[in-house]
Amino acid sequence: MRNSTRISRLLQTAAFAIVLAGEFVLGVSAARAQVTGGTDVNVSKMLNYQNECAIAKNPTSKLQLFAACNNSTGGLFAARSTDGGVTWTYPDPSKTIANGTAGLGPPACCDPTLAWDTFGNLFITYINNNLQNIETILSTDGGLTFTNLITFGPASVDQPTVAVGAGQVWIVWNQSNQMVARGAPVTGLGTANIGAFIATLTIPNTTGCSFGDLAISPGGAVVQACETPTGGEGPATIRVNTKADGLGPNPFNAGVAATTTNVGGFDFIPAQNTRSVDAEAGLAFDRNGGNGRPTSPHFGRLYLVYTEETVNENNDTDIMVRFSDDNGGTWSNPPIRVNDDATTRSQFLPRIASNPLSGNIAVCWHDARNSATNTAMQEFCTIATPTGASPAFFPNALISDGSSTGTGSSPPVAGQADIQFGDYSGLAYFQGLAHPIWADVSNSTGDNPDGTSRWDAYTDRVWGGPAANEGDPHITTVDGIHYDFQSAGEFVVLRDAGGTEIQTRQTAVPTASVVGNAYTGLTTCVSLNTAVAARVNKHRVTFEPNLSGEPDPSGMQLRIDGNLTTLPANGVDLGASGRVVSWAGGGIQVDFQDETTLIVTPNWWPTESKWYLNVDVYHSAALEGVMGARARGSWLPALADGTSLGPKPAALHQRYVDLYQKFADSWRVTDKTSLFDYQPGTSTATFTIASWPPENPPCVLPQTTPVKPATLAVAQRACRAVTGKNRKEDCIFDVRVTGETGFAKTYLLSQKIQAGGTGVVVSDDKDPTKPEEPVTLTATVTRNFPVARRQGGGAPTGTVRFTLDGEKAGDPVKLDSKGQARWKTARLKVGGHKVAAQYIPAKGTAFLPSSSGDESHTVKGSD
Amino acid sequence: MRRRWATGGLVGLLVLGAGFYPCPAFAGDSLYGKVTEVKSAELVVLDYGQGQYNVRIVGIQAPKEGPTAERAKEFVSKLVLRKNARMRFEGRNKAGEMVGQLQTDDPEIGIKDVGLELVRSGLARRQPNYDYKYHELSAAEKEARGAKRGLWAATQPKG
Repeated sequence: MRNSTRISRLLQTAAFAIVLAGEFVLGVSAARAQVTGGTDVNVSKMLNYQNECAIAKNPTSKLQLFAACNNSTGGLFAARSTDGGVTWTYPDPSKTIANGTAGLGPPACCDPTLAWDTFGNLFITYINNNLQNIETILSTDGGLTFTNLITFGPASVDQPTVAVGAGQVWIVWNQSNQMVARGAPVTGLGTANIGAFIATLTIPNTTGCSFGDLAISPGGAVVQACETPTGGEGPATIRVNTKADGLGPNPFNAGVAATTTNVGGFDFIPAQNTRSVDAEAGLAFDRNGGNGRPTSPHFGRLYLVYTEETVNENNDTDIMVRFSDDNGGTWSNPPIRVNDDATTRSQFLPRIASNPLSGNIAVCWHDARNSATNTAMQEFCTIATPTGASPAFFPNALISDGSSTGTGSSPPVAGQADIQFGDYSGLAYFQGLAHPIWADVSNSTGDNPDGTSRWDAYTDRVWGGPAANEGDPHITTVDGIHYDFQSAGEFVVLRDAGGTEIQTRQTAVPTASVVGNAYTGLTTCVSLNTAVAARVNKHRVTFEPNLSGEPDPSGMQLRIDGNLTTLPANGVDLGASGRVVSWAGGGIQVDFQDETTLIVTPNWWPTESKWYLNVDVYHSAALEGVMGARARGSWLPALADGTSLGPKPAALHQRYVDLYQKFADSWRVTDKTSLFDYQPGTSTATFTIASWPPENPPCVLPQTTPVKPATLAVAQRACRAVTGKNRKEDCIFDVRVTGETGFAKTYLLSQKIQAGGTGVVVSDDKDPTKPEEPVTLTATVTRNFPVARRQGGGAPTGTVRFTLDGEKAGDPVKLDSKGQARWKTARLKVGGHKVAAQYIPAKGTAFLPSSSGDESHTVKGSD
Repeated sequence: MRRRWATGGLVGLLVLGAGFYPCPAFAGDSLYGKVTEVKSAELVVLDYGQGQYNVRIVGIQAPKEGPTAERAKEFVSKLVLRKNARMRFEGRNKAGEMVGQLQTDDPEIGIKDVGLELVRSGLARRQPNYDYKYHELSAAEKEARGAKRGLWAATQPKG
């Protein structure tokens, strides 16, 4: 009797599963790249040519950026951002610096290079107007004002590079056909804390070597790379020299040939047919040394990016990376190919940068893979984590919104030589956001005053995600793979080497039916997210049901570092831009220091007396975990040790073993790694059912009654307002398999948050100020999830209310077309102040309210 | 007698447009080497050690024939022949020449911009609608005109 009943149930279940699988639309969502860009921003919006751009980010403030480019009509184009690259302003109304105006630096020819140290010193180095001096100017206020720091010359000079690190600033350049260098100690902010530059050092074996880069190791070693010969179309050699003792008395070493390349110093390719490209060697150190956070497994590793040509002069140029674990003495072999296209078209002008908070490596470059004539460039980027033995770059992401044809602007307007894309582009990568900057002639933003005839400087904000972990649970990874993950226990769903980490608890749900998943091909029992935990800086945040285990419909419990917490209106500051705030529907939003945003949307399941959660993550810098990115060639995200599961097995059994044994066990938390809070006597083991989901139904647990499914009609009706292919299908499945129509409500809330979720940041135009000196505070409201302009993604509308030290400051201020509101005041009292802003959406819009963290501002007394 | 004026290769084509005020040029990647031949006042051969390029000086027009052409060629030879020089590259023209600024790097002469010195000496004109970034060519040409040097001497054609 028991057997027959069981067989009957199995048959019913199998039949239901078949029905569900048959209804499932078998189109697997296309894998998007794990890095995504927002809408391109035209930084320069200026007549004539701006190209050969450099960009730097303030390592002490993730909101401050500075960019400088060649400008064809005098000086250098220069712009600064105080809201993380969303909007840009200019230190001078001319939009230029180094134009001969007092206070803006000696007049420049070109070749800007930037470095921003942890003291706040922004170094801007360039070639002067008569091509005889290397000039360096200094800004100590985020690129607002400038001081002449030092002039090297007169001499026959080219291609300077400035770098900072380990209490040093160094500049290398080519002088009379030889690479030379000078460095100085830096002990604090401003010229008074920058020591004398040592005498010019000649770098051995670099005659006829140029077009390279400079980096300083965490330990203070100075490493330069250059390409020789500087002429010709290849082959050529990239040489690397190291000065191990930094500012010590020893010279640069004799150097090594790090690699050969078929891209010569003046290599003409179709996309750069009159200007040519060089290999554009670039260096970046893994600088994540922990500092209270986890240390990168390859702390101190040096990466070298360069351009290779598969066969000399075939124009099939690729972006390659090698690495060195001994400050450039020896290099990995073979090189790692970064671009993942299958074409024979050109990739060129690469830049590399490493996020010092995680050790992640970003590479961006110009790419003609989508140009039939191999002449139109788009900007591409990719990222690799430092977890594996060698970097495994994730699928390439198209970042630029338009494509630029270098030859399209030739012949140029009268009097201006068109150097096409120029000789280099720029990239800054810090705190989770990568900021490429490049010369663009697409006018995709519609605000190039020259239309498509002359170059403007474009940038974008590049990050991971969005990722989702919704329903029972349906995972959308940061690279867009959509798969079901029904294990029971606690798992690391996202983490990076810098300490950002999100964990979820999944609770098994006995059901009378099972769910088929198109991506895995598996038909399994289900589970639900029932708790979430996160590490934000040095704090631990948990969002769990009542720890007692007793059903408590009154709400989820938030704890910070184990302490039960009720959130005030503007949330709780977790330091270094970290914050937790309450969110619509009883949920929470957690902002991490690295730009990652976690939104948790809970709902109460009355018939089962339990909470379940949708977990959504936006612009994450973390790329590892259950929601992490796939390694190339792998069907699932990488395992915790960085290894890959490889291609999807043909046999369903092996897929089950891969997913629910190897993969699930790899990402289970342990007592040591768990971030959750537990009732005494419980631990992560309490919530673990290693055998869940069973490979085959039934979906039963002892002393529980399986939930009854709903009909398809009921599920479809409940989910009718849910949009998006994946989310709608997930909703229908969840309602059907559980019979709980509340899932639809949760999906709708998540959908609303994704469509209208906003964030607001406050910045000041100067800090500190004097008593009665005006200061303008700007609140910038942006979407949490960027929507391309072409998709109607305009800036949020409504008003902002500023608060000063927790008190309302004046009337609400209407947002302008850029989503910005300003409050100018000269009445701040002497002392430290906290300024914040609350965004109030315009009525009738889909935007949701948000509040900023505190912006500190100091008014210094007259003494 | 009317003189013929050099067109300056592709850069001449590039920069000869209409209706725009004189605009400056960029300077970018450069090539350092030794000048092994002066073919004309505008065109030299630069050897970088592992190869050589024909380098056309950007932004100027020197006479192609006649005594001024010879003087201009001799002037350039004195500045750079068999001496180190740096070519700051702007682009390759259809003839395969590398077009750019040419600068001396000589212990006696110092660092001088050859094109600029030619114009300043009245041995070449600034190309119409072309100038260096801070209008140095215009200023040099104005100076040469004012001093009635070379092409701007009383017997030479105006403007």
